[in-house]
Amino acid sequence: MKMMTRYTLLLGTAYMVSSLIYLIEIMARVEISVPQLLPSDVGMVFYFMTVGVLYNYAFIKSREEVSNASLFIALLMSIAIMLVQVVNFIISSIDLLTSSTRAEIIHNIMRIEVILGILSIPLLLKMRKVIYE
Amino acid sequence: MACHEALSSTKIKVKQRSVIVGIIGNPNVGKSALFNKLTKGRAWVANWPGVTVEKKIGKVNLGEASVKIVDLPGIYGLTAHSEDEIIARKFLLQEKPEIVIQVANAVNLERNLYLTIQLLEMNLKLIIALNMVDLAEKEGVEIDIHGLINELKIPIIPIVAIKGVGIEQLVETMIEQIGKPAASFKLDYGEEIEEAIEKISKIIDSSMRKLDLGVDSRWLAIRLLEDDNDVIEQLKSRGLENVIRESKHIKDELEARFNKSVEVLMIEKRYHYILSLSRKYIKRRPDRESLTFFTNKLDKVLTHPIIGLMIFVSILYLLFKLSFDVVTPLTGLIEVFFSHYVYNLFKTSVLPEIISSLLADAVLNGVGIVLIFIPNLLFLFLGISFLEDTGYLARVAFLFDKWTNKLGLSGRAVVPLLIGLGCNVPAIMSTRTLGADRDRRLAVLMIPFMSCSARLPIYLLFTLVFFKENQIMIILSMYFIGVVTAIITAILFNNLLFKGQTVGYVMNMPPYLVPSAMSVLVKSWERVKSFLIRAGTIIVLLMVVIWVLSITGPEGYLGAEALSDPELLSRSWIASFSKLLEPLFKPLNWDWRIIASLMFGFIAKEVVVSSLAVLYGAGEQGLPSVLLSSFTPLTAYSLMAFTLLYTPCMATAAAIRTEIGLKYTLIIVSYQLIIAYTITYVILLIGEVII
Repeated sequence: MKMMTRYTLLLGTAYMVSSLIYLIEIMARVEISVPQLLPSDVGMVFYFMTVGVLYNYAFIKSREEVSNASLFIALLMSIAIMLVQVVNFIISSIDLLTSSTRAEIIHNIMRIEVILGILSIPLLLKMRKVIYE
Repeated sequence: MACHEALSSTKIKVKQRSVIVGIIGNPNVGKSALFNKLTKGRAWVANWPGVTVEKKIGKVNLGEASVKIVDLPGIYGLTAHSEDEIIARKFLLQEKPEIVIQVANAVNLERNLYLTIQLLEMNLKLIIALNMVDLAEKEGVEIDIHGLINELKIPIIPIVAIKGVGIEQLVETMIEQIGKPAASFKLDYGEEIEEAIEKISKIIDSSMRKLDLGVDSRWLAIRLLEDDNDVIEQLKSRGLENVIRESKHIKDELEARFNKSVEVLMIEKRYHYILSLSRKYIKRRPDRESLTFFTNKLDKVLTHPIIGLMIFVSILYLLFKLSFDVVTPLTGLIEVFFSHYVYNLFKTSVLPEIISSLLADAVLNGVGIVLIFIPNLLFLFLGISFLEDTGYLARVAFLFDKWTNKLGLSGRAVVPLLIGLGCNVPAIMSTRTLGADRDRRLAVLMIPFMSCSARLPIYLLFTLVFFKENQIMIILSMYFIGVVTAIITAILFNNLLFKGQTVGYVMNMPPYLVPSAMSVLVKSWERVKSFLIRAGTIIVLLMVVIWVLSITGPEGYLGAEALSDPELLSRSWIASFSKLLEPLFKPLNWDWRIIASLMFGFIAKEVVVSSLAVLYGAGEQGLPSVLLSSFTPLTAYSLMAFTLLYTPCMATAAAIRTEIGLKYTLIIVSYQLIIAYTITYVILLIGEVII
């Protein structure tokens, strides 16, 4: 359980930090490198902030019953955005097939929402046990 | 396959050739899932007569009989208070189904039994499909099914609709029941009420010799005691006022004796009976940490006033991303295929010029406009159906209900309204999830004011030319004008068109479920298909009309090149009409070319930009400099506002017609024109004072 809450904190912080860097980028009009490790637009920043808030809320309230629920929603949202990006990647590949470069494919796989989504899966499997057993 | 195996393996000879089966139940109990399993997707969607509530019908073969299965709207009772209840009751009374399957939720069976009693009182041949028995087991709910069967004397089949469990047994029971008489059921309402029912029944029986109403006199007597307006109207229309008068007299006597409404007394009796059934046959293990417990915890987060709202906006963003962003390559493919490949094929064909132009510029463009929406609609409906089946949309309704209620809408209307910011067409189609006819009409009337993404190119062009410094603020002001006008429209129509129609409804919070992929796919495809068939035909037809008006004029046929030649186009019917309308738009300082480009905007709002380019003979590259010499910032802003508010595009108008009928389409089109003109004029007046 302790391990799970630490993992939760890590994921929540990752979401918050990446969206904060993006906001700084926009406000200061500077470009920080590794753009694929940042949300892709302002809408995504809001999405990331919500997911980040949910993870951190679950961490802070980890001794309360409601934390399981918020963690569960945060996990689902993480995986949902990952799936949407994967679908996006597959559909865009129709274009990539004709004009692609390897770098573009790697860039898409390296997107932060895909990485964080994958990192959420083991936590979701653990949560499944907590909920149903 | 379970359903078909059951059908083929049965040795029972079915005598009837054509049988109607109705599926009924409370909202969110899995009626649609069962319907899809029974019909295997061989279903079609229509509207119930006179209303826009969806009617789903499917056909299957049971031995030698062809069975029409009808999915009825979700209801809590048959008292004919709501539109859905009226529809369901009319179906049961008029279409006289051979079998009625009531889908009941095993997790909270008690809530479903009120409807069961009302159905049994109608002497219908009832089968209860006890759904979600797997969840009930997890919840620690134990139902003595055999005890209930003996008590109610009707078949009760445990099923798990989304997994297809128990469907085979249900089909076998349906076959067994065909041709059998309905079980008789009589709830004892107590000596005095029973006496009153008896008296009224006798009066009805003696009058019924004159007219056959085709229903049981006891049921009619009960309905009369409960002041059922629908039954009273039916009797009045058959000249049976004496029955109404005498039953009212008996009812008044009874109420004077009890000092209480008879309706309340009878409802109490029904609930008393349900309580006794529940005590005898339903047991709950209280020690168990149940799924409901987790559902309640999820609700604490999802319906939280701040976190819940953040989650909703995020999920909506995801839905937008999926249906507008992700599918862009797919819509691009369709566009390229039609506007380049097939278009050129027609244009360079050996056919006469007028025929190839008709096929390419009118029919093909129309088909293209319809097909280009398919990826957006499909992905959007997949998302919405998924959220609907998980039970999340019910929470969204709860989250927004207190705000939207002030506008006379249910909280669920928030989803289609926000989708309208992406595209009005799927937004209007998605009002199907609202259920109540009144809610749908009001939401559909509001949606065209939500600034869709097709209006963005117009905003971008004008803001780039005239408002470079404040581009974002000016564009945001358009969205603001749209939302405010939509709210004013809701208040106005709520007080004029839908005055006196109450919104009241019970909000049901279904348990969270993992949706079945089949159910989500079938639901989404049905909605897309409905758009393709019903809106598609109108769009193609309108495209042909506009094409004819563009290539012909008072002088006769101008040639297909009129579509790209400003000189020829200025002699077309469209230009003639625009010149005719010019004096009307004089107060707005617009010349005929702007009016003509707005007419073309009816095809799709983004067409306004390319039409302006053609009409000013500038080409899209040279358009900014032409605009600078023809417009002032104020007239440019007023044109942007007009484009936002005036008649919806052809696809939206077709969708409105499909959803709420021609009458409302004409109302909204005229209303939008008036509103657009007024607001644009006010903007000009205020602007002139300020500047």
